[in-house]
Amino acid sequence: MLRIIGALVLSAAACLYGFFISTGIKRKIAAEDGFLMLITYIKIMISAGNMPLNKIYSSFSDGELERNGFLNDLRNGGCNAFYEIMTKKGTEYIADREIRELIVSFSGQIGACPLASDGVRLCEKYISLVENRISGIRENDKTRALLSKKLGIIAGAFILVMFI
Amino acid sequence: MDVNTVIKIAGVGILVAVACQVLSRAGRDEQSSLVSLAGVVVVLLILVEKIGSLFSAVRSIFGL
Repeated sequence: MLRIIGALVLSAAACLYGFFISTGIKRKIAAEDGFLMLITYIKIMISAGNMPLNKIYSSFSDGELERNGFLNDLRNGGCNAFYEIMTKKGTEYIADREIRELIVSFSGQIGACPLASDGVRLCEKYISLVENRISGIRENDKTRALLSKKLGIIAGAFILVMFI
Repeated sequence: MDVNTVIKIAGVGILVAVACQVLSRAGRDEQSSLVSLAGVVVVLLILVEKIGSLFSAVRSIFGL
């Protein structure tokens, strides 16, 4: 009886680990999309109403960026909060080094644009750069997420077969 | 050899086949071949005791 319970626990652990890895990759994808949305939102708000950055940050909302605490830090920070957060905690929010460097670079420059047109141009430049990078890695990330889920289930079944 | 061992080996075979298919469809052919190799090793580990007893049975039958 104990043997069966142990096998079931190990099997469930293997399955859940696969799902955990898959969820982590999906959250990473969602965070990348969230940052792209933020840059797009900044661009729209600058071109529409020339709003100050702290008001833009406080009116922006995204599911994953809310969940990982980035937006909370952004709203509670000062006018240079975006750059400060990205330099201090950038690795927590974005796993891909190239995208992280792009976002850090963008966050450092967006606060220093004197004209709205410069801000819009900067946003457009970084949107295209981030989109290019995302399109290069997105397919691989989706495959990894699916694969880890399937392999977790197979590993769980394997443990069940071996121990029962 | 009891039926449990046969069923266990069949289960391992099915799971290894599924894992190989999943990996090769995801474009990971190297890992797929490694998984099939691991499957063979696991089955051999299950069978090694039985093969040992087979050899000792043959030896005792022929008086070697």
